Amino acid sequence: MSDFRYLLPEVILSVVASLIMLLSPLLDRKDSNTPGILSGLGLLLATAATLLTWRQRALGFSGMVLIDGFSQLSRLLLYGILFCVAIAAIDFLKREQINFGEFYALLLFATTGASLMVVSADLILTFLGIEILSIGTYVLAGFKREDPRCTEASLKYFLLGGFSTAFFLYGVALLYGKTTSTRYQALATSLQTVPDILTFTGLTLILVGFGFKVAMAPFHVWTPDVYEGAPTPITTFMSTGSKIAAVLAFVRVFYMALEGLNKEWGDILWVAAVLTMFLGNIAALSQSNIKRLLAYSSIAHAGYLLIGFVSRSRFGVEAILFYTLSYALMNLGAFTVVQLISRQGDNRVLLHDYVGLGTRHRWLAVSLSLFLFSLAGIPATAGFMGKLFLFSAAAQSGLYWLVVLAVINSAIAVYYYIRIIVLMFMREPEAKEETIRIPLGALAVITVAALGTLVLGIFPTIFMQAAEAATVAGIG
Amino acid sequence: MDFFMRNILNIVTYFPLVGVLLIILWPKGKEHEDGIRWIANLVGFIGFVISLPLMLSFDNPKYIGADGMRFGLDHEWITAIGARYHLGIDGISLLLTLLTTLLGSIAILSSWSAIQERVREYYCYLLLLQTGMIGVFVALDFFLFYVFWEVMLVPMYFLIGIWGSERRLYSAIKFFLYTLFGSVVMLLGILALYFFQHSQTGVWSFDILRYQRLSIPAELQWWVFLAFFLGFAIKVPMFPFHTWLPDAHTDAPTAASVILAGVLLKMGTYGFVRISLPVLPQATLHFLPWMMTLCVIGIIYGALVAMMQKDWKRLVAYSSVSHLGFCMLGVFAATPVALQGGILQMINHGISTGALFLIVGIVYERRHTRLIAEYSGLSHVMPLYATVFLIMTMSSIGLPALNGFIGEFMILQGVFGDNNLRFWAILGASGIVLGAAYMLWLYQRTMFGKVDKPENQKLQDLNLRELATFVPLIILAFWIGLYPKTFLQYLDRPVIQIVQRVRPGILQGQEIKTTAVVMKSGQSTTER
Amino acid sequence: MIPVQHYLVLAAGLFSIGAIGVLVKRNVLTMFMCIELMLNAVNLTFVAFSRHLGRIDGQIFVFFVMTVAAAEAAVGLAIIVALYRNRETLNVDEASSMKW
Repeated sequence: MSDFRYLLPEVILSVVASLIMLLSPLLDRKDSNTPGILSGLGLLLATAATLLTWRQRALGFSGMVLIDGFSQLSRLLLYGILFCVAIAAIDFLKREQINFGEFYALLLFATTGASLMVVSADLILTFLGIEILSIGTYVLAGFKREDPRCTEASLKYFLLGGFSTAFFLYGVALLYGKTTSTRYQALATSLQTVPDILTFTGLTLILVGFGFKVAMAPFHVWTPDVYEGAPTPITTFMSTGSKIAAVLAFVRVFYMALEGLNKEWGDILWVAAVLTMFLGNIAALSQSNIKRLLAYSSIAHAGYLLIGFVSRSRFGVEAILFYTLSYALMNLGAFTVVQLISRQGDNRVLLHDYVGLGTRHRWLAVSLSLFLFSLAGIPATAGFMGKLFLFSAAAQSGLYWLVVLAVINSAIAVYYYIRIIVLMFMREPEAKEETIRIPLGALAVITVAALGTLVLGIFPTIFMQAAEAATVAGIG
Repeated sequence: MDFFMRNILNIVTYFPLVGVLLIILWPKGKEHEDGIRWIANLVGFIGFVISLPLMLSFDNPKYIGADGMRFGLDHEWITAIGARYHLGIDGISLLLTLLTTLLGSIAILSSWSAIQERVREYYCYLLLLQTGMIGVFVALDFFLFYVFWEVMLVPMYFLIGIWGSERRLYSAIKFFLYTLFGSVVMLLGILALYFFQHSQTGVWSFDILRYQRLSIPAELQWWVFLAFFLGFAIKVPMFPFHTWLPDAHTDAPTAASVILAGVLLKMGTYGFVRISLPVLPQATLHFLPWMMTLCVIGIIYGALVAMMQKDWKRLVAYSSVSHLGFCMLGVFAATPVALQGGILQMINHGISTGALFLIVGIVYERRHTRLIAEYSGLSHVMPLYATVFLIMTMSSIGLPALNGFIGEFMILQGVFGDNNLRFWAILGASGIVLGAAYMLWLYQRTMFGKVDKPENQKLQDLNLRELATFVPLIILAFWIGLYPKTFLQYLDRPVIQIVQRVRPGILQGQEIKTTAVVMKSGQSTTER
Repeated sequence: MIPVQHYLVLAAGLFSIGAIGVLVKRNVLTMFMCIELMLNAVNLTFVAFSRHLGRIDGQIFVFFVMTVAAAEAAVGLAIIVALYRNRETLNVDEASSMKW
């Protein structure tokens, strides 16, 4: 029973989520803030519960759950992201007249899943975490039931998500057959030698499963459609929350359980990283829809993150942790601005809608530019530092060609980010547009993200130390 | 006072940001715009004044660090990769920093009436740019250098893209992508050095001074040299990487052109002097013939193309390509005199070309055209303007008693003094002739003749504010032309250090006091 | 007694049929069934290994998988119904409006 304290945050989240479910029929659907406030409170409580076991290291539930610096930091990261997504969504839901409590309940359930993924020390629990996260997100992606694009996004996400988990699970089954266990530790001790066909297939299948979740090429095809069709706050969530949960679980599985096979997965990921970067960046060049463009950009960023994996070193993991935070900040910021500009109906998402934004909404435009510069990797922003850490980790491991290719990619990417900035500042708006109201929640998220992007860009040491501690605790 | 002097580099670098903050907080509305202009001008001017103690206390032993750098500041910054917040200046960076603060304040003053739209943002970008540029010149940590180097791209990009003329979007993006591509490749070179440095000493560091002491295997030097070359040569710009420059210059607003020509291009040459030469001496020698060839092509090509231009501003832009070729010729020759001349010529180019852009800007503001054919006989309607233009033309073509002469002379003398390089000196000298040709022809076409356009009849001569932008530049042009020692004395020591790294043979047995050589040979030419 | 390899080969065959089905079929319901087929192939693998290794946990995993599959089915069918209401078709190509 005492093991429950290790999963206290997850318990809190699911209890609050259920509470919101129960309450929501009683509430005024039009402008009740209660579910939003409740979910915010739930996340705060979960954060407090995480801090309760801060700096502890423990295996719970007979080895299925591992609490250590890595999982704790990952949890805090996820709760922080979710908090931002939730408060930015409050006004969106009212604007789109879909202010249902279920939205927050599902968001919290999804967070529970994400949270389980990062504390798990057993492939079956990881699988359950992925599924809890995904099922919540399938529904959220289609939350605007009447909108055909929304249901289409939901369906595509559902089909490909289910497809990919099947792969993941099959890989788990094969490794189970090989090693008689699904615990990370047991796997790590059994999988030391050159793998036979069974292990290799299992490894590859698990890789495919994660590949879908983090949008690694060639398993990225769902991303643009789903990001484009889903309601913007959910796109924000998918591009930050679920992706980061997947990346962190990916680190956990590959650095803890499959460490012995790192030669094999390192080689595969080298190719995948290059492919992902190029496909993402080149496809992004020709996009005219900003959500789609950012989707391709997030594919490219998945490619950069994979570089951290390929470097197979502690510094690589630190760099991945740093990058996930900076990536989360800039995407939270960028998508929240997109959400405001999309206006009633959530459909003003073409690049065309950004023409002249700099004169009409100077601060929105300035902050979006900051996020875009950060995504492009211009110094003094978090994105630059993140890339720098990733690339130096790779160079430290002797992967010079990978670094060269990655640098070329960053140079290509600048073009499409800059294009948006050009539209915002250097073109005159064509017609008079109604002004955009900036709600408090979104304003707070944008401010926090902007400040975070700058602070991490100038004083990266602040977070890098935490990342270092977490890495030492997590993978030794 | 002591606190001020100890942190002077921080203060000089970040002072413009105070202006940015004030301008952001300043009340909105058309009627308050003059207030913004006042703030920006005051901040620019004070920024220049507080940078003067750098020169006055330069040799005060209290502020000389163990490494010979002045006013050094060294703090921990990014421990994970060993990057430090390390600032400090030597004679080279001193002159360039002062040039930056001076040209920055002049650029701000020159935009008073030219900029009428989005005034607030304009001055913010201009001041941000100022901080970025000073940062590049004072940073001694390579990583910090790179951060400043890249950061200042952003405000420049906005300055060209928002307040530029017809093809501003194209020019802004071209400028941004070109320079960004170069600097990204430079980053690769930095990383290579960084890892090599670690493999040698076991310490993670980006310290430029530390890099200058490394002995790097020849093959690595080549690769790193090429990577840096791309980054710096695009910025300079050297032929064949110059194509962004005419576009960016032509479309930028006047103040941005002044800064672009006066300071931004110097960042490239400064990079060569500060990093490529002392860190990679063997590669520098290895690539020397290639570099000299590119410089000479740049000098002649730039001059020839300048001659063909119908657009006044574009002509000045191409003259930059030619002049910068000269600077680089001196730098790469790496003999003490040539190097010193090359560095002095950077300052000279900042002064004269900066002024020439101001000159174009003044008639552009009045007539909104830059076509040379649109103007003629301006000396009749704008006598004061014509005088200033004349002085700056002379400075640009290297007339004795003006600054351009000293720089060009030292470069040519230095290059010529080396038997192996004599050939390039002769080719380079032809650039001076061509330079005189296109500048004088430009002067003749615009200033002399009849005033044939009715619009030109009633053009206003320089007003007091415009004159004020030129006065310091004219004074400096004469000062350097008549008594260069004031400035050259700061260059002796750093130049000798660099030459020792690159071509130690040259210095052996002959401790040359470089300025003395110039003065002596200068006299002998006049006697003859 | 049938050796474990036979079960594994059967499971691999079922999994492949499922995977290919998802890729080639265009009817949403059929694709969904194919995914279920893949999950069941995994279940078969788990059970076979569990029996072969003489460990019980593999069979417990199957219950997890079945629960998850049930939850997925509930959500998935709801999404399909929503799609049919909007588009009146179950063909993914016809329902697909977003393309690059």
